[in-house]
Amino acid sequence: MTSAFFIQLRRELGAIYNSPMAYVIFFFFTFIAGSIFYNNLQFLEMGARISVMQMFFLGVWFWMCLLIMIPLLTMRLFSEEYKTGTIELLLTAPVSDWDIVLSKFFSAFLFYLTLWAPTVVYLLVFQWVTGGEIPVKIPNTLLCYLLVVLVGAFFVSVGLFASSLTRNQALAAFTTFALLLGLFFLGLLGLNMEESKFTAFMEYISCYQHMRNYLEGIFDSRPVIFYLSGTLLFLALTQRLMAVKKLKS
Amino acid sequence: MIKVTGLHKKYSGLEAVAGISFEVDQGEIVGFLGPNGAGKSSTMRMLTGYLPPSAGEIQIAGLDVLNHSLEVRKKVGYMAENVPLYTDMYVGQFLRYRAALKGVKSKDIKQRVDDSLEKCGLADMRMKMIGNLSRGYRQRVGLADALVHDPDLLILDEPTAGLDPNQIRSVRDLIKELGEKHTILLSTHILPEVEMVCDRAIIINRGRIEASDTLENLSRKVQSGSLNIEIKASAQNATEKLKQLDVLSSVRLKSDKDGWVMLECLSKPGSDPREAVDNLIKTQNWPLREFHHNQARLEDVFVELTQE
Repeated sequence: MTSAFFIQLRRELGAIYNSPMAYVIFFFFTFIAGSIFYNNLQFLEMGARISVMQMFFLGVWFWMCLLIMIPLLTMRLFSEEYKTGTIELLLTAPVSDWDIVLSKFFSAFLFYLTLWAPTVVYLLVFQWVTGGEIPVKIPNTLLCYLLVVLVGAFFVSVGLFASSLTRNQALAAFTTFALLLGLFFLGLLGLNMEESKFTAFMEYISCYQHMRNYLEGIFDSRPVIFYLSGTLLFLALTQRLMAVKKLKS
Repeated sequence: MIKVTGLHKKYSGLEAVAGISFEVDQGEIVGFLGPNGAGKSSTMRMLTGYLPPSAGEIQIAGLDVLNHSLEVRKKVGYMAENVPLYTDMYVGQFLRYRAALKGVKSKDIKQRVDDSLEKCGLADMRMKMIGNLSRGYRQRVGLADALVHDPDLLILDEPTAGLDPNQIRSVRDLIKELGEKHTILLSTHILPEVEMVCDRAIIINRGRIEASDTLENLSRKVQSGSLNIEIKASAQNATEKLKQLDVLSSVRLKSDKDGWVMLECLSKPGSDPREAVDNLIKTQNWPLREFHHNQARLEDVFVELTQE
């Protein structure tokens, strides 16, 4: 990591926190996550037989929230620079392409992580509400958060790539949404089928399945490899695309 | 400082820059002149490493632009056409960020930023949001950005485009002042600018260099100066007589009022028609009330070289 990377990362974080979009996303994410949690607690009171964690991380709302939030978060990363021409400022400064790609990636990824920070409070609230009668399973919780981090990194890298494809932010957001939704539903396809090579593959790429396994406290290293290599792949594609764009511009 | 050999740039079949070669020495201020679409911006973008050339070689301070891209970028201050800037940043904040990014040591950043703000007349503007600035001030922020790391070479793409006359004057003065310490290559299609600021001009048209010389030599090359005279004579007679002079290439009637005719005589390249015309007027006994000689200006050179 060069010093140019950290200077650029600071700039990118500044750009995120200066934009109204960041606060809109933060507000809605916190609102929706809070609502889900509150609802789940009520279910618990009614005597539901699944855990709050399961309801939270396997619920439709959680995934919808991720699939909509990530595209909004990543759409401006490159598109805006191409649209306003400021990419020329970056590419004529002594900064390597990788510094640019990584600083943009980490700015969005760090913002994504800060979105999750308040949810840690829910665990404390849960302890307090239940009076500690139902112990929080620490390993399961940690695994869930690990997956949240990994899925986030991968989704953000897909969004970054889509943003470098076009100068139109709306198009970048929609492309990201389509890619992520496609991946998500492809993973769900295998759920109700007879077991075959196809379902094995579906299971391998299904974020929903990964979450289910981790919730039960089963650590599986395959998703870790899957998300990390996926992230690297999309970061490398973005860097290549920058070079190609230069040749064509 | 700059050495360009056989530079080509093709955009999907269209040749924007068609094999140009030139050199710029340390300390020179060189004007890069050409009509719109001549290939000025493309060339400048290739010099900064933003665009890769289709063919040819560029060396800046002895370093190849493609192979030593990052080092070259540190030595070059570039102001792009249309001056793209981050509109969500404050002027001072933006320049501090740019200085750091361009490798200015953190202890020098404050000094460098203050210096370039001062030079560009932005000292009171540091707390202003860039998005709220007028075109003229944005231009100055762009210039301050190009200066902030004290580069050896400044490449300025149309630095006075879109400014009002006062701002143009102050930017010109600034460029002149900067020329004492830096090598400058600036592009423009405003000719008086080159005449006022530059030591040398490179005229480019359709991707080719048409001329590259000092301003004096350029004007000498195409000495088609003009002579305006107003005499009391019949228009037809005067025109015919003047046309017989072999120092003139053409004679045009500008006005004919109350017996006074105004004529514009264009001289042939390399000749001074004043004496011959004066003799003719004396021998014909034409009353004379205006006699005005226009030296060939860069504008004429430019038109002559770049006309279709």
